Amino acid sequence: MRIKLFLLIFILSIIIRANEKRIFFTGGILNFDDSENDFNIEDYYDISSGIFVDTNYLKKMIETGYYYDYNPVHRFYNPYNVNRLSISYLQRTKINDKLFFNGRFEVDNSDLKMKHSLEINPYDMPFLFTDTTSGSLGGNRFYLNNSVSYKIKKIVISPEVSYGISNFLKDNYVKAETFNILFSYYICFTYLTDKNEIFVKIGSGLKKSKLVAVKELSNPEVFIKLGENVFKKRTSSSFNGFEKNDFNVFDIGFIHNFNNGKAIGSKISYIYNKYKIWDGKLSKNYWGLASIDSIFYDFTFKYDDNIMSRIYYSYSNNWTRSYDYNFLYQEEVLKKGGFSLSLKIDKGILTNYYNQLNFAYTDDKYSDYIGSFFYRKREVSFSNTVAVNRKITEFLDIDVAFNVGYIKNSKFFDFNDVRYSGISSVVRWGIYMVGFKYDIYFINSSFCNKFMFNVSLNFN
Amino acid sequence: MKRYYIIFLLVTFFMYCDRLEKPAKKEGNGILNIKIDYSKLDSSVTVSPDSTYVEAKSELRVYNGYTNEDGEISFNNLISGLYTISFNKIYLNNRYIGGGGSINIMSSQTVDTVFTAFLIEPGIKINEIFAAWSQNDILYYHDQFIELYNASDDTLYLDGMIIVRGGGNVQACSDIDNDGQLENFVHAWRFPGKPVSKLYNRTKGDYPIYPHQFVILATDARDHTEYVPNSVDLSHADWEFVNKKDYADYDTPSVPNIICLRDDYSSDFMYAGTSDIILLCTGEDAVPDENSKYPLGVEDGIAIETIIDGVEYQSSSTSLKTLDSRVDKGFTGVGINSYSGKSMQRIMPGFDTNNSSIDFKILLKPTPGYQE
Repeated sequence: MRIKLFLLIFILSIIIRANEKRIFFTGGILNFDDSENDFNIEDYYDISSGIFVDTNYLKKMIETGYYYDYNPVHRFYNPYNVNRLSISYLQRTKINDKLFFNGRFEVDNSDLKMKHSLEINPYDMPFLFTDTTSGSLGGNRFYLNNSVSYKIKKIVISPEVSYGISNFLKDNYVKAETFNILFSYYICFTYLTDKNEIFVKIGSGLKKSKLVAVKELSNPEVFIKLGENVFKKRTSSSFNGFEKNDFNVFDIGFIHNFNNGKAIGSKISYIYNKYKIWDGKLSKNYWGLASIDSIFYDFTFKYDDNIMSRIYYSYSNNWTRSYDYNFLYQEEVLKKGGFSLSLKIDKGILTNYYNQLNFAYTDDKYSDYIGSFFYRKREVSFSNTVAVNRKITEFLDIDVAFNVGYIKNSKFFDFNDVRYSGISSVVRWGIYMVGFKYDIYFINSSFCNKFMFNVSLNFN
Repeated sequence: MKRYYIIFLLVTFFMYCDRLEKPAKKEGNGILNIKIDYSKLDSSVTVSPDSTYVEAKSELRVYNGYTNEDGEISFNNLISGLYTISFNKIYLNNRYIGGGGSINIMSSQTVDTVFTAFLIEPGIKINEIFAAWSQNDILYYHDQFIELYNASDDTLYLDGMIIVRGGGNVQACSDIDNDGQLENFVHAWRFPGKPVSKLYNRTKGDYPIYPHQFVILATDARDHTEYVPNSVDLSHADWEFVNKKDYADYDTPSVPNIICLRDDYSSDFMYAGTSDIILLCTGEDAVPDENSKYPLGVEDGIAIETIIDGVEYQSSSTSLKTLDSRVDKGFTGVGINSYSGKSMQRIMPGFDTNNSSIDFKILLKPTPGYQE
């Protein structure tokens, strides 16, 4: 199995929060004019102590929504259809001049139609639990994230805690049940001046997953996917798997604002993930071990409100082995670099007109020693997104975006060249927000459609 | 502030101490060189060392091939693990040599090993066991059967033999008190007739099994496809297990019965779907005697020397083996689920090295009366 590229967001990674919707549906444009998308360390680098420089949007908000994703263009084990109902509560409040609170609580009910995967985020795991049937994984997730930020002179100290649980059932044989727990804690030190926001964030966490599958009354099989084409067959009539993922995070970065409105920002992030997998039927301590080292570097330049650009680079070194034998099963070195340039035009008919150009290069060297499967993949991708924002009335606001893209040697689509284009829109009318995204993918001589839809209500 | 810096440094230090060490070597570099030693074969048997089929099987992969003219074969790029090695060759019509064993192999290691070939003894063998029932969702469990096979060129006789179900006890069919008898079994069933010792020398009896004949022992000798379309037609079975104390037990008049030897047992002959033990014994130490301490003959155990064949099956490869290794050194059935319709059959008719891990294969569907 190829190991996941980045592991920044864990079990709740595919929840699209209200404050990210416009950016998500409109293609992630860097300088999109949005209250949740300022160039500060909180919005841009997800540093909670940045609430001290982003105090304009303190609020208490309940959001409820429905999300639908029809996704025939997906990696093999990912869901091809997602239905989700969610409700969340967000609070950003000022307790006193030196103390702020930022909290979020989310609950959702999801139904994910998947082929053979028994895990909701199959590519997060170095070893994948699979079976021989297709079916829906349905279940609930709860997620809580709280942080407080306390300022002592120019230093802000921000402890942060996250907790999440989820429970999913497969509706077809082997009727697997998965239970996941996520707990993480961070502490961030930030130095704030009028022009500088400098931060160091460290944290750790763990995620535990348990999977139980009973094979009675039918003939499906349960496997642990070890390599690209190597599966370990579970031989007993019931399967009881357990996985523990410890992770450490270290972030350091800054944003510097110049007098003339220009700004630069940079962040280096290091994440270490360690996995231990128990095969519940064995008396041995563990069955598999895996390690993922990831480093990210980002540099962003804001020329003014109309021009922003970003370059980034990431390096990831991943490997797996069995517990019994100290030999490498898989190894992957993955390097990725990219560049984005975002322009905003604000004149006449082109008022609030955005254009963003993206380029990315990926070098992926993968070795599967147990399956004797090796490749080196160099993927190149371009995309361009055009978006327009129109405020029709005081309450009605519409975003429309078009995008086109090209991926050469796509590593996710069996090494094909992929072309895609799409249209998306977000309409906000008072407390209502409706978003949709439609993409058409051309892979070889065939094409397929991908559709996402979201409707939500925000109560402030 | 100093305190915070110290805490920060300590946390950072502990974060990066607990890392996994990356292995220096890679998987998939193991080499296994096998040489088959034919010298222990009977001098009357002539076997050329080439073209013997050899299989090396681990839980992740199966490697196979044929020996060269020196009786040697080499497997490369092996993954670390415990391998079950088996080999066989037909040297005459319906006559085999074979052998095998287990060996632990590490990647980047070259292992040279020699396995001794021996003749597969003729005689009556348990050739197939269909235990896991056919695929169905009504919990239908009457379609189990055991297939016997006469691997010799002589007619043999089933008179007085007993079939024993070992059960899933952790000490099932083990020689607990070291007296040469296997204790802890669930029940035993007898063919009609008088058991006679020295089975292979028998020349007379009432219930023959002809050379290379398959004989089906059905739990219920009827056409089970009438109830479960995926099941098997056992209406032409050769024998049927019948317990007169079980009033619901189906008894096909045209099929002779095998009778339960346990007084307090009032069910049909059934065995577990995924893990159990089946023994075929001469029955000579199970002669009913009202004056004996053991009136049915079998309560004191089954003498190992009377066991003609024994097979243990376990669905999990990590299960503990219970059947005495003098009868069966391994077990078959790994990966079979209840109601999967899968069956266990010898890799060739009557192929028996007394190691079911080597001798058996898993079939997707049962094959009563013939070899797949």
